[in-house]
Amino acid sequence: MSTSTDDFEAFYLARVRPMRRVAFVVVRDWDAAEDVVQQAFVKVYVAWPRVRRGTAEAYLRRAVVNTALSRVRRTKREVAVAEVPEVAVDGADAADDPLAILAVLPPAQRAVVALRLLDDLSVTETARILRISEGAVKSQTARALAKLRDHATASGRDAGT
Amino acid sequence: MTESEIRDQLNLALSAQEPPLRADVHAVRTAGVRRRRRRTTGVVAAAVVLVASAALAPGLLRGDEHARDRPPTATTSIPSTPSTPAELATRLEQLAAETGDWESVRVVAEDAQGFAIDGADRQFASRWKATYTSPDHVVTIIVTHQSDIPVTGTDTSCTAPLEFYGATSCKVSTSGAGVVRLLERPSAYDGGSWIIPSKPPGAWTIRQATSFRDDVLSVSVTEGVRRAVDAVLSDDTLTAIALDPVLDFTDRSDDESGGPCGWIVPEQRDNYSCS
Repeated sequence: MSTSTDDFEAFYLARVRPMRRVAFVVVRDWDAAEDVVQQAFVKVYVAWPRVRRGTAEAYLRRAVVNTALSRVRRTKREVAVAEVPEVAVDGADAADDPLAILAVLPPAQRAVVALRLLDDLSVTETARILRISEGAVKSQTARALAKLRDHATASGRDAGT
Repeated sequence: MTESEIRDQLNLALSAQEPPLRADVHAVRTAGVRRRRRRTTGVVAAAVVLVASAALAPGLLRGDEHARDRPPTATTSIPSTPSTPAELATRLEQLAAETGDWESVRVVAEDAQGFAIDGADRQFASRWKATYTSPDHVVTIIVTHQSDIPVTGTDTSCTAPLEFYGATSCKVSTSGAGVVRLLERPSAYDGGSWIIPSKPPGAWTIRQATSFRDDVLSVSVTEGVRRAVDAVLSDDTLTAIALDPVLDFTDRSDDESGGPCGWIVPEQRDNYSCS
């Protein structure tokens, strides 16, 4: 059963902000995240006549994550760094930007973090969206959390000295 | 720091930094309508189609053991980057050369009517066709524009569509001509600009293929081709595999499952009846 245009608008309004957060975690730029989400919603809109209510969420998430990862691949050869640069863009200290810790994660791990931690998806759902095995989701999540913890601990130590 | 603490910290930081939304649903609608229109008018999109020749099917139906012998398979990885027509032709030829066991290989560029074209005009080819022939098998890889993909399913009647997460597959009747197709439409080209900006004008795109099998979730196109051929040879069925997880997403409980849809280009699905 197809859903109506009004339904699409309601769906958009309900999901645009959470999806922009998910996209941001992957692309680490709010403007880019907004573009990503816009593109993803266009894809959903095109498919809307045949997207069912139960699947629209998954369709959207997949579109957002795929578009975000494509954008990261496209825009720059991004390399995960062991340490967050001390000076962030616009001269702000990395320590002042809690989201700068995302830089320690490669894009694929950021996608896992976004879906698991921000979007509260299960391991199974995340695996389906990212088209990787559940084991890979678990290991990527564990690695990401370990890196984030290490970074938080190191930052705490630095702040204390 | 626990997982929930990290989650809370992320959420707090996001809330603190999140700028106001600029996006609006009307812009999405406008872009979506434009995109739909582009698709229905058959504007160019990149596609990859694998056709395992009709010669395979009769042998499979007879249970001919020789037909189950695997044809030479490709191990070359085709990069998932856009390529020009010339690069594409080279890759298709390399693919054959590196498998080694084909009796003959033919790579041709064709116009919209199926006539071979050569020289600089190959830039304007509607499709590229590479045919690999071995004593027992003929495998053809067709790289084509979306508008040239046969979508009506008349020669590939899908007798038992199977839906699985993120892609569509179906067992294809092997009575008569059997066809295996791999299809991908990663982007659309509209009068000089690519909808996906990373794709330069005139480029063809070969992206990662995704098989319906759990153990081959992510493979290169070439690997996908190989797996598809393997599937044909081992399953007594010809299997159509739709690619591009975003565009081809179909729910398991889709109303269309069970219908004689044959091969479906999702964007074209609305243009003909599947019931």
